Amino acid sequence: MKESGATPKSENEIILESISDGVFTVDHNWRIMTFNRAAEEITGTKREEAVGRYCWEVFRSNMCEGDCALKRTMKEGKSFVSSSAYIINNRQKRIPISVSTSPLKNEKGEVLGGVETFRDHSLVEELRRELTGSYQIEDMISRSKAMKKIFNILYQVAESDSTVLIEGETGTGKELMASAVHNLSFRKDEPFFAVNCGALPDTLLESELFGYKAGAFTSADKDKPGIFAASGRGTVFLDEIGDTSAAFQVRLLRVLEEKEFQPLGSVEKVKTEARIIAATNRDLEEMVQSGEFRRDLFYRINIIRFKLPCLKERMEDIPLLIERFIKKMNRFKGRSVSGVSKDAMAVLLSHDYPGNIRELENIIEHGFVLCPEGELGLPHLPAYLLEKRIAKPRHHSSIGELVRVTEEEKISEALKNNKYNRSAAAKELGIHKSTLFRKLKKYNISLPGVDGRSGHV
Amino acid sequence: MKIAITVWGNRISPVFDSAQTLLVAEVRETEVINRQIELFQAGVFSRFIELLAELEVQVLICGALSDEPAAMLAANEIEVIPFVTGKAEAVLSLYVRGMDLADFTMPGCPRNRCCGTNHCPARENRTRK
Repeated sequence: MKESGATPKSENEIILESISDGVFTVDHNWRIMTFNRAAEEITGTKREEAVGRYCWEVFRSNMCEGDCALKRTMKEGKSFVSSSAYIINNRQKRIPISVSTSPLKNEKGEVLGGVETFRDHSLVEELRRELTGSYQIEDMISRSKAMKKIFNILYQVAESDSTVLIEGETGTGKELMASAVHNLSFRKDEPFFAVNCGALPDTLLESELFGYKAGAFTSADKDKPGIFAASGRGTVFLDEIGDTSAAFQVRLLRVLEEKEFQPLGSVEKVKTEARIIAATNRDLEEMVQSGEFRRDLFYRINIIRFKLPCLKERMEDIPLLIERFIKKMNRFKGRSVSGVSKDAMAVLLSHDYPGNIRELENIIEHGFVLCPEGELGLPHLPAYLLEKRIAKPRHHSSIGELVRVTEEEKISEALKNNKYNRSAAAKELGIHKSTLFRKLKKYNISLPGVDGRSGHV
Repeated sequence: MKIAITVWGNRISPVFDSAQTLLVAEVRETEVINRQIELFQAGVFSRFIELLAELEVQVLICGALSDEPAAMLAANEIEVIPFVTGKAEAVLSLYVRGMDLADFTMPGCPRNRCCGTNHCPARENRTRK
């Protein structure tokens, strides 16, 4: 049936063309009879090409082969509303959709075929992802408040070109953060060098960073430029700066103050325009107090300071990070692991992660060795996590129970910390002594005869 | 050489991503000398690629294919002819004889447009060399 441009469209046709839901009808042989504008847009197939073709050739949904809603409608003569599915459009993209189907009847009630309406849910899916509240900058992802604060100022810090100090326990992502600062700065097209200062002895570290001249030492048979020279206007990331010697600290201070360095064995100074980002897993302020770290260098690098929280302090990120690692490893290893089972997730959420994000990533990688596809379950987790679970067979199903157990643990801990001095323990917990006594009774926490005040039985 | 086609009954499965049956044809010159049917789990692409490797399949003819499995197949150097529709035997017969598959291209991926892949039948010379 050909459409004539001269023939005015009926009201129904105008409505069908105006709505944003895709609509098509099929005859008893599954051939498409009508195909509206939105259907063209969502599938990427023009009406002229679609009409007369089998619906599965045009619609290309994961339902077509096994669970066709239209087939059920035609068979049972009933409407079906909002089945979730996806189609593959002509640009090879999976489009999430919801589908409703009804029998197509004429005025006499005779079934002429079926009608299918479908709605593009791409935007809904996108919004759903937004609503999960995750924040992402470069390769870092988080939904924790602490990380959000960092992300909020990261762009400004990156553009500022100032020296940055990143503090955080091992495995918290200090290098990722340094790399993000570099990639967001105007230096992004220049080199980024990461050096672990703690891993190298002084002389080797200096020759790596500053380079050397031929004859500077026995095996130096030719000049070797160091990282500062090679980085040009890029970024040099000095990890574990708290583990460097006093002598090295002096040399580094000179680089920061004078923007120049001296290769080993050279009498001439070389200018550098590299930006320095330093990181440490130690408390530099404390080290300054104890004389282990130069105060002047500390003030030089402590212009902008980030403190990355350990994973224990951002437990809400664990599911998000697990999802990220699974996606990454699926991509690199060509696997199709779909996620983590509920039991395994419970174990992962109850672990303390002394190795932080790196430890979590290693746990997931361990799972990938044992589980090529499907869900990572308890048998795929490292034994040490499961042993801990057996040793602590607690399962706190509700928030109330979790709060109760945590409170009980905190009170016991505070009492031990203060040698069972009730007043001191109450002070540490930030509660009144009478509240502490009430809670001791509530949780039936028995106290030894020792009282921290007297120190005797 | 071996050619695989994801099938749905006697037709090419409309969507590769949800297909579950594979027709594997062994071809010598322009003749199909052997056929076998293999079942596989839909959506587990790594296992599917392993299956193709086990069966020593070089060419895959399939229906609509999304970019994720397309990338995995490309990474494993499997020649893919996607967005093909129609009766599997008819397509196989044409392909082994080096004939044009243009008439079996899905709507929305015609001669002058492309589904975006390097293996798009619309972009490539559809005649097997």
